[in-house]
Amino acid sequence: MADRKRVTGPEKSVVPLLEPGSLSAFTFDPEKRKDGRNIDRIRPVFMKTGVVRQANGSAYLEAGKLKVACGVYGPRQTARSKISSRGILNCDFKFSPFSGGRRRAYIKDSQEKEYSLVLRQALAPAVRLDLLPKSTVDVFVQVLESDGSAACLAAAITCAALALADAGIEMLDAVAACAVGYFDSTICLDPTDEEETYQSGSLVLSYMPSLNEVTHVIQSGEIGTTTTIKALELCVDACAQIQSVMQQTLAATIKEKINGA
Amino acid sequence: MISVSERDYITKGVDVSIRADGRSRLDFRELVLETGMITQASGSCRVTLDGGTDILVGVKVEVGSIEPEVEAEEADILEDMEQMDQDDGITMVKDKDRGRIICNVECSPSATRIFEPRDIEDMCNEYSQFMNRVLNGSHGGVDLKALCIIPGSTCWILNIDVLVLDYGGNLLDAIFMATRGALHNTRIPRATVEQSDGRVEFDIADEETEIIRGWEDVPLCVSLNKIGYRHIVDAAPLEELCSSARLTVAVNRRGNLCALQKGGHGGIEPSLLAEMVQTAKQIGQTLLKRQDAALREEEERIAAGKDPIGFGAASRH
Amino acid sequence: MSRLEIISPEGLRVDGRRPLELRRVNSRTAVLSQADGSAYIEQGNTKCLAAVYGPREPTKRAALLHDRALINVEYSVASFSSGERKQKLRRDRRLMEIASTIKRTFENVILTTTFPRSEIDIYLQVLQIDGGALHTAINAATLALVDAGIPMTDYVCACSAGYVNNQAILDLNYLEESAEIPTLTVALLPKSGKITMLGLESRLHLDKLEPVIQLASDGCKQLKENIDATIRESTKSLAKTILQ
Repeated sequence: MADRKRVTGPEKSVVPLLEPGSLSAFTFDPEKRKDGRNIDRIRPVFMKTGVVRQANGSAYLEAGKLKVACGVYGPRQTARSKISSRGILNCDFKFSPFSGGRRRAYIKDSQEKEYSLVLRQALAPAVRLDLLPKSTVDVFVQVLESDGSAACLAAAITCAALALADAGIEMLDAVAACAVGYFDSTICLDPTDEEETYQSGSLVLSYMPSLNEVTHVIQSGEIGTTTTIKALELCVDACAQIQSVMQQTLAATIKEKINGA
Repeated sequence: MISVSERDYITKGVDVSIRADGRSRLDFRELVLETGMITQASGSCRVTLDGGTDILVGVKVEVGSIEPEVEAEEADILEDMEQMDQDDGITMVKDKDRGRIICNVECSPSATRIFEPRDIEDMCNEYSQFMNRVLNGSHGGVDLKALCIIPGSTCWILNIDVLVLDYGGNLLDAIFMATRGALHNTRIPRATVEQSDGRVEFDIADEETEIIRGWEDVPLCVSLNKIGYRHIVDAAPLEELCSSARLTVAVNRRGNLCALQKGGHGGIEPSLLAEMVQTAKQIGQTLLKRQDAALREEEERIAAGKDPIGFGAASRH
Repeated sequence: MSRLEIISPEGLRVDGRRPLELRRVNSRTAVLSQADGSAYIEQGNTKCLAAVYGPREPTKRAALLHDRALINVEYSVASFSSGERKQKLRRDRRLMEIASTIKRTFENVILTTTFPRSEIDIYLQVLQIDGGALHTAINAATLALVDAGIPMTDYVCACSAGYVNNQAILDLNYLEESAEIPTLTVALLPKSGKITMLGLESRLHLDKLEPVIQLASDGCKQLKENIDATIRESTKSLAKTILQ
């Protein structure tokens, strides 16, 4: 029975490939990045806490075009079946459907599931879960606009750590993360989406500056050992810079709370 | 489950480079490698590490379309999306002239008794994803372009099925070794493409087979576990329970790193991380040489026409 | 596939065997280090691996039996085992049915009353199928159980037989099984000659039933010789290491 009330689109439809600047040829030159940065500079980052009122803690991070929001709920009681003497950290990572060039579906695809796992592995070493028996901490990260998938992941980790701090959950240190793109033997910090299409590999690293410990590292692509080690060092330095912004943001939040209360 | 005293014993031992089975920190166990015992599969390989880990990999090739069919149901779309997920997760396959590799890790019932069923599934998913990430792509070694039959429409799909038969620690390293061995052993039927009346058709010849191009460049994996302040290679099950953090490095023949991933609950100092990366590179290249020698012996055995007696009969390395 | 090709005019089957001939059997025990008992058996191109754990504490307290051991069988087929790659489904009904058949086969043979309130787990992994997966799995399980030292009243030997062109044939391979020849699988206790499991899923004339069962039983007895030889050999080598 034909449905006369609706005008449905054709069954098979293809997204138009017109993206701004897609018609011009893009050649990647490390010396001249599109936003004028040096290869060892991260994008200027803006952070704010307390953006989600319902949540116990929340944070918002912006780096260039990238926008990530995170809400933390917890510690709250774990379901009966999973009770353990150590707290449980649940992480959820999701790209918004409108976040990138192509629309993403509502249901999580395998990349988002993988990033959720990475998020947990990056944050778990820092959170004092042993102080939260029988409890669960839920971390929900939503990417509002993505600009480089590796950079999004790094921003998500940073944002989640900030939200956890805002929620008052005890941690060993605020985890900061950053991403790197490899272009043969050139290392570029914090690659954007356009730059990512030309990279031969990527690295995401999360780091606790006060303890000098790397909580998570994940790299893909064929890279030489010396290049990798250099990239690790660059990332560690960048993470220290990011953490100083985190600390400033948290200090500002506390001041507001004291003054406002 | 591990007791406090056992943990202490192992940690102190690792500190002075004496492990429970007498190895030093960077010693890899003896491995036994056999190929070609599953005749129904296009290629197969079994790797046993002295002390229990037993992995069997079967490779089956099939002809498929470069873009998997997309159906109207959203659920089906997502299933296909998962199947063709590349590094960027972009739903449209960018390169229409490449074949695909699909990896799947499964645990045989006999290996699963030590873990909870949920943990097994998580572990298998994690390993499958890691393998998919490493093998699909130019860093994976395998020449995916050579697997294309008709650009834009048909290609070979390599289904790599990993079966964990027994657990004795260090699964991922053994899995990669067996996968590389199975790819060395795999034969694809020759596909000839003909153009007739404007239509392109292909024909598969069963008798003529080709090897997988680029199998030598497939990386091997080295997992390093941090115990106390030191790191060890090729951990046994008890050592894995003691480890605070784990670094998995995929190294190829050229000495380049194809993947790097950290696991475990603890953190690693950046200097130790750099050291572990260097160690992994050296050990990876040694392993590659060992495996290549074992594979050459296997080739000679097959050429000499000796039947594999199957299971435990092959040479030790 | 036409019936005429199953047995050629010279009386040879597709793989060159005589109608009453068993495929070549190779078996070994103690192939897995972590299992209490394990075995690997190859019958022609069908390969099966068995692992036995037990008797041990039951995982499901609720299912334990107060007067005997609980037997748990899991049967699994590798994705690359047959001609076409099949994705293994988590709860394939067919696999569970085969597992429960095997469980019932062994429940009567294992002296379960010796180990009340415990569990014996039998894990079967089929690596390659060329017909006769069920009976190969049963033989592998027998070997593994003996290797684990679990007391049984007798070996359980299984074999399959079929009937085509007025001729009963022994030990069908994949081509013969898929040619819709009635296949009968029999599991036998050789000492007493009792049949502990009999399975037939196609039509067979009642008159032909007796000779086919008899043929399968003869096949089982032949297999028993092979299984027995393997056990004795492995026991001898084990004894050597102990007595050194």
